[in-house]
Amino acid sequence: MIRFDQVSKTFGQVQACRAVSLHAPDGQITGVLGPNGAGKTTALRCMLGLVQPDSGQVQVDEFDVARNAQAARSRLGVLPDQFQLYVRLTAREHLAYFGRLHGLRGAELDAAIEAVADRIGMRELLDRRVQGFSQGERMKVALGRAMLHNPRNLVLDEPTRGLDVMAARALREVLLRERDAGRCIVFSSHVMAEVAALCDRVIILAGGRVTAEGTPAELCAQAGEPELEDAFVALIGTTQGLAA
Amino acid sequence: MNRHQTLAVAIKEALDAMRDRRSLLAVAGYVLMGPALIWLSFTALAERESMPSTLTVPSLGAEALPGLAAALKEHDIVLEAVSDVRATVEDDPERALGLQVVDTAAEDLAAGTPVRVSLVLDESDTAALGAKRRLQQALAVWAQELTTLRVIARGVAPSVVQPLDIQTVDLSTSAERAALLLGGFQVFLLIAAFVGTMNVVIDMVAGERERHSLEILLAQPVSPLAVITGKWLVATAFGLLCGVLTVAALAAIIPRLPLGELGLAHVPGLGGFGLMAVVAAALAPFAASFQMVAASFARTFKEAQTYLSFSFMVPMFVAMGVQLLQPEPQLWMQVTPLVAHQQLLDQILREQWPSLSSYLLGLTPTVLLSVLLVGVAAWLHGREQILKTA
Repeated sequence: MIRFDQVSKTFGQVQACRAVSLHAPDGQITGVLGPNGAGKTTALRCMLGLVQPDSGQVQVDEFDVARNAQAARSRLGVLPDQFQLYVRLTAREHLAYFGRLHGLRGAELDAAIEAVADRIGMRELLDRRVQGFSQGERMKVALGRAMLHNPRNLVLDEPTRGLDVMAARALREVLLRERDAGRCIVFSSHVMAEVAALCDRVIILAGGRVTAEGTPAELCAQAGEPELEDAFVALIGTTQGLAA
Repeated sequence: MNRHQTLAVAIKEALDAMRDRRSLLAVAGYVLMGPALIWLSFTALAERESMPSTLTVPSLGAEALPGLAAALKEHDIVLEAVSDVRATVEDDPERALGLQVVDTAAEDLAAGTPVRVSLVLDESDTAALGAKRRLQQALAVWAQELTTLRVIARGVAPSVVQPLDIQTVDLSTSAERAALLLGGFQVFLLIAAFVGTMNVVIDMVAGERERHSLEILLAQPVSPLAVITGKWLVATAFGLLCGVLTVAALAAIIPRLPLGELGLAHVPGLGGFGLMAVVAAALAPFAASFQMVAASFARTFKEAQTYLSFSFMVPMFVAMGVQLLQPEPQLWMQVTPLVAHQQLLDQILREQWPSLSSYLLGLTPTVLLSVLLVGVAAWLHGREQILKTA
């Protein structure tokens, strides 16, 4: 479970988050939509304790991030934008590195690597270096890294960007399975059809605020538009920042 | 700080660095380049010192100065009469220096007025400059003899025109003369650790930031101090390796240098080289942490390269400054990083073996400062600004 309560953050003159409140419950996929500069990255960094909010509180499961960032991080699995991998390491070395950072060692670590490789279908990638990997293969390594320590919460920042149809589909299947296993999944994307198909609830961020939230159908009804994309444009009130 | 996490970071960084050809090439290149440069410069120096003993100088009008040719011959300088000195020097690469005596030499000599002699050469040619110095010295000796004869002829004691009799009393031992000549090696040794750590530090600090992988790393339940300490250990290992290998390469090359031809019978022994390796390697933790702090301010690989290439200047300036200024030994010099290392290297080269307390006094503050700088780098990685990328 991830909860934001009146979180505000300002960088110089820029107000990145303005009293953001949101709730991503367990057993659901919560989509976060927003144009570029909407405050998604800042919100993610507040969740990870990498940025301290000026006011408000972020909670991951029972932990207050400001008070206990390490415990909150151990409950989170993050798949970042651009995957952020080390090209000279193999997939197994990535998993081992991050597993050790989460306190896994020896046989326990080996078992966790095998288990996650099976869950994601990346066994054949384990002993190859990331250097020559396709985007889809990189995504699998990044997803494996996020899921290795069995976190209650998964946060994915535009995970399907640059993926081919098969890889995006494989990712969706993994996410639906993890949701059904009771995990809280937060997912940001620019692909509206994907959000509509995958997310149980959608939160729209614009200009550092939550401008709307609900199921995809509720948002369409609220905006009076049949398609989520049109509803999104109507709800953020501008087409600025949608170019990406 | 969790030591298992620190170890995890160190294992990953060691793997990554050993697969990075740039880091290994930097170490290998430096280890080979230093001794190669030293070998080349010493061989060139020895060749110049043992230049062909006879210097042939094309000349015009020198026969008007009686006794000059014979006097120059005593200095192994042979005059060769030509019709055009300038053309000979310009056209013949074997004749880099010419001598032209003014037409009125005989009359000037008889009248006791200075005879103009011109040295014809290309001053941008270093070989010609060496020949010029030699000819000038020989001419000066001849002129001095002429002066002596002239004053005797006028009934004046020659000592009157020589108010000073300058003698040099050389107190240096052969080890000290070698130390002076080998002093240039100190710079190589002082920089070695900085070279070894540089590429590794750039890649794992600024490179990590540029590739955006720093953010996911710091998003794990790990403290910045554990991350930075793990990285520092690996960078230090590369610095140690480069320091020790550089000393080993010098130990291999120095006994093969033509030092004998330069009048140096003495070279440091194996024990001396071993102690030098200890001093050079002791700089590694400092070089690593110093560069990590500098690289923490860089958002990109390139930016870090710019900052860190300046980090070489620090040991270079210290080594050159101490050698040029030759300050009186004082306590601050014994404890200041780099200065202390330079002093210890200098003493080892002179075979004035430093005591154990000198090593402890010299090397301990550097280690303490390194730990402090690791703390600074960790603090910099705990700030929100570290997430900003270019």
